[in-house]
Amino acid sequence: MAEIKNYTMNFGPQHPSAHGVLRLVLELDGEVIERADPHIGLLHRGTEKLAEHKTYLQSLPYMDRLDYVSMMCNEHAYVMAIEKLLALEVPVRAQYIRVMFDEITRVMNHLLWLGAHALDIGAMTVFLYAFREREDLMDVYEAVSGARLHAAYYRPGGVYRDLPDSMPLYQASKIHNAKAVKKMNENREGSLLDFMEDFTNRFPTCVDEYETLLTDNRIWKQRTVGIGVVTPERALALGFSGPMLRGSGIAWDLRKKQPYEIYNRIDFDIPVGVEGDCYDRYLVRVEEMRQSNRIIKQCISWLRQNPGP
Amino acid sequence: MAANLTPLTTNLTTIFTNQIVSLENMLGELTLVVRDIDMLEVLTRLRDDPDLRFEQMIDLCGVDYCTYGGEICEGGAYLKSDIALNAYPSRFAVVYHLLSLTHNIRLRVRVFAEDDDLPVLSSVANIWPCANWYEREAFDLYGIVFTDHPDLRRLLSDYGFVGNPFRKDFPLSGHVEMRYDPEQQRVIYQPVSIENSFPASFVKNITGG
Repeated sequence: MAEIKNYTMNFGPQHPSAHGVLRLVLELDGEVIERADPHIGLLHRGTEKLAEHKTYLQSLPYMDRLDYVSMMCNEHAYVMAIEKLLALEVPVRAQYIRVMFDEITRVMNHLLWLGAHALDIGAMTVFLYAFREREDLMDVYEAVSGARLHAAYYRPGGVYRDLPDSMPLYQASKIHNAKAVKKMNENREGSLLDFMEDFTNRFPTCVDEYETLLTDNRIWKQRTVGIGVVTPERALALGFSGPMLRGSGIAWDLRKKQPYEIYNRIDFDIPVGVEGDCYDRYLVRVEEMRQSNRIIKQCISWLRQNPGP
Repeated sequence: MAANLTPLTTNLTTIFTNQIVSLENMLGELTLVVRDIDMLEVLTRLRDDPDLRFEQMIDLCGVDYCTYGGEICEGGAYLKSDIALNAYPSRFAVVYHLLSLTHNIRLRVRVFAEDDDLPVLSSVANIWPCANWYEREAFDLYGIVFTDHPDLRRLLSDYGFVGNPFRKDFPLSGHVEMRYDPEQQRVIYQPVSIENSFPASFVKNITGG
């Protein structure tokens, strides 16, 4: 018998299968990772240090970059802290706009997670499907703030401006002629709210498509069911929150338990997992996308009935 | 949402009769200050007592009070102030943000490190395992040492980094910058070449020199 020793491997900081710059020093026993030492500082900017030398408003765009797939949610937490310190009252319309964009952001976040997760464990198609809808939502970001990702749209006391009356349109090019562009622009002729309404009508079918690809897929289940099980006790001890905590079966959602903005006026449900494995967290997030869609719908109808000044 | 803090205030004052340094209600948030010798006992009790049940530690971070309450100077940074020296017993503190899912309530606990030159506190990684990386972060960025920590190494700063970047006397630009040197054909570190945008009076004031 050959003597087999544990093998130490360096992974990253730049590696094609890592999502960003992350370095892991791994100790392997065959294919099993016995120990991992993550070096996580490669994207650290020292945001707090930068903010020391800036005004509240100048620091706001940094918040987009903290978690660059949940841009507006980070901004929201930051502006709410300032609003609390200054005892500012936010107009109800701004609160609805912010809640709508929080949920748009949640959907964008979950779409990126779903696509990338499926891609990582061997399903290519979902990524393309998820990014198709994500593109529409990034156009909404662009319409409202001018930027597709780092919006810097929220402000202490409200938002940068009211919702626009028009959406950015596709232009004819060598690839798409005038006729094709006309079709692509069909749902973009109206205001941002019209476009979002069209999106919320389409989106449940899109989620059905992702589910058709994954939920009963044998390979997907082999690779997620019973994988990464976190018990409720462990989830609490590790400080989990959001869908990670709910995936472990703990019914906890700040939007319900400590409602902020106008979440207490909105009707939505909280999905909770049972096993605490990858598959349950997947189900929780997919259901969250459907619930976000419901929330966005309610926000749109309120915003229509209560136009801005 | 403003949570009702009265029951928690009553519970805290009855349970920790002799350990509370101060208990303050600001903006609907409760802040408890305890001494470093009491901290492990208090924090364990906060997690386990059925009337408190703070199962989760949401955040742990270091704080440097050396410029706290100072006046704003050019560039937005704060000058070293005498207010902080009077208001706070020492320069460094660690703040714990706790959340009780059972009672749906939050609490902030602040512990000051007595020694300004070598701030030392006990690790809470045995109470909440998620404290491990937070304490490594505070060690890295503020130079606060946590005794009995399982693996106290730098977490975020560069390999071979010198200094604690979030201390108020650490310049925004840092001390060294990195560039590729075509002659040596490798990446080298050199002292920062960009102008420090702060007036000399500020630098003098903040370093106390």
